[in-house]
Amino acid sequence: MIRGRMIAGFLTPAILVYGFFFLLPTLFTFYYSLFDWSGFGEEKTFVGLQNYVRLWNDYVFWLSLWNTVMILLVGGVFIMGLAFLYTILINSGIWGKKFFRFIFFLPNIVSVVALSAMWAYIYNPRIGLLNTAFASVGLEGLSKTLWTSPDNIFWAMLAALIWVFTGFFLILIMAGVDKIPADMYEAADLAGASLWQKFRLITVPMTWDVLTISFVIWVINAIKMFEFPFAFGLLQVPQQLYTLGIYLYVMGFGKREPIYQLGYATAIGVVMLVLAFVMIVVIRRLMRTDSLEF
Amino acid sequence: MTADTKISLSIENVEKYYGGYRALSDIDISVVEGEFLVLVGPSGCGKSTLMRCIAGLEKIDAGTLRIGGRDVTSAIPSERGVAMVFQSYALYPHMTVADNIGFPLRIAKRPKAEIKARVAEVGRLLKIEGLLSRRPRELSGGQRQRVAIGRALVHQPQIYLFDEPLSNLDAALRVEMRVELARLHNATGTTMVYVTHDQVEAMTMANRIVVMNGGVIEQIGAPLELFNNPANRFVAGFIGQPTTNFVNGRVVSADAGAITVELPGGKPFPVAVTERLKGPTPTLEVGIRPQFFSLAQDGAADLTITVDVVEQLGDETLIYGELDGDQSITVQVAGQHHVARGARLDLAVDHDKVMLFDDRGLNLCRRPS
Repeated sequence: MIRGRMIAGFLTPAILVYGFFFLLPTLFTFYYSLFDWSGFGEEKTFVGLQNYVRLWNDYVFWLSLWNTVMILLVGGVFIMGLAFLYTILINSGIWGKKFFRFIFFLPNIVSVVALSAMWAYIYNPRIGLLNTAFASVGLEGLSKTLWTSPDNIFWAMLAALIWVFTGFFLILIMAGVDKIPADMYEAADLAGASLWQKFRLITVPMTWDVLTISFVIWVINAIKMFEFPFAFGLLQVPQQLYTLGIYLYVMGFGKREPIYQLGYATAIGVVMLVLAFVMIVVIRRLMRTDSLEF
Repeated sequence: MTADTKISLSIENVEKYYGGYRALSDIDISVVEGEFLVLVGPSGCGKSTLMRCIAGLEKIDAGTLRIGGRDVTSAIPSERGVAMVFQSYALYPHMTVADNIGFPLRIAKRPKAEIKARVAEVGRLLKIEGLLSRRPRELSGGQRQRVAIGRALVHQPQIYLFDEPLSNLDAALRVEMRVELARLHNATGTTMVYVTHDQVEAMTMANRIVVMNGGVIEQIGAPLELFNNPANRFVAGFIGQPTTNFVNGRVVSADAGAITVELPGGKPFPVAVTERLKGPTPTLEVGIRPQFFSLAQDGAADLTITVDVVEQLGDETLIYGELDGDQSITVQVAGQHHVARGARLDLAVDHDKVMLFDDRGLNLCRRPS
């Protein structure tokens, strides 16, 4: 009885804070998405599912969704693949493990605005690092590429985004790999296993739980991706860089000119929430496994 | 070693450094085919390092390693023809027992039917055929141990390496597995190198024992040879249970074949020696195994102790006491003896079994076995 009261006593503050700041706003998001509302004043017009019908027919919404899905899938494949590759390289016994881990993680502790300014310089068509580098090795054709042209800007942003996020997932995956006992690999060495066999038969299955969490974290990050593409677009974010998060912000609060369609923006928020929820359920289903003891 | 005995493993002048620290120094061992060799020594003596060097998991800094006559000094682990059972078993938690045992064959890309047949065969040999579809976490310690051995067996290597494989098991299971390993050795007839810090395991399982200390070999020999004729104080103290008593004895006289010593509170007695004393020595360290004491009859005491603790084991009695001058003594006598704490106990020593150690710790009484 006392134990029950103690548990309730300790949990209540957290539940209240969580309920007030997370659960309630989420429920209100659903509610507001049924209204035509600027976000200011009492004046709200109930429109039912009209906002969702409008989304269905909105070209910019579909473009934002497409970009988000591209970030999620293409970005995800590169980020996880590179994080694993770097983990194997850094763990291969090379000098300076901690140094390289720090270097890869560095983008995560630098302001997003600073990072996007740096990438703006890298991609600058005339004086940028990338084109200058291409020119210096004789790749004249590539050195004339306009990386921030409407055709290229999304992929240029995605490449930079991959660079930013790889370090974070490198840390996660490396922590998972580090907890695999060394003798698991030694037993494989005695059997004559190749690097690929060790990766496939030992590393991946034994970091499965870390991979699942990493995928879930990435899905959440990718679906609500906002700051980096927004900062990358500088003052006027072009539609080619719109993600669901950016489109929500633009519809809710505008760019230079305010739009103030909060009802419509919350409908985008609901789509993001449902998308994240479905993806997480699917990932957890697909990657479900028994917990390992070692 | 006869001329036609085949050398299975040859370790020649091997040295191993970790930075400036010398982990192995001048290691020289030849293991004949089918031999059960045990590397024994206290923690940090280099026995596991030596085994890892044999397996190729560590590189040696000097010397040569040969397996079956082939120089494998710079060969990768899988090309050495060895299989190893790890102290932690190193079983893959996400694989079934069958997959764990068949892992080396899967890596070697053997046909599935062959893997299945070999796994079943090993499972039968180790009596784990009913566990093949289980995961390691569903097994007891002893069963995991068997699976780890199974994974080594499936290799069909020239040499099996065991790195303290019984240290995670409880006492009863350890005895059981010890017997099973001896049986397995008899059945396969393959060379086995076994690392342990437990001298009972070493004594009971080995054809020959290598006693290591501080990265060097103290002595190599058959178990009883090490017990009866330890080369030095370290081996005398390490081999044998309970451990050898070391007492400072006064040298009464030293001749070519015998040294007469006197223990505190006792009468002088002569001890046959095979080595000469270098220079005049007033005292020597006298080594007496607890088994070589007996309760003295009237007036025949070689030394007298004050009894501190008595342990009754049923068939024998362990008496812990102190000599004058605070030197502790352990006595193991057959049968049941009731001695009160604090009592004075007269002891006789089997003079033929007494060992004398000079100031370098060398045994002066190496008697032929």
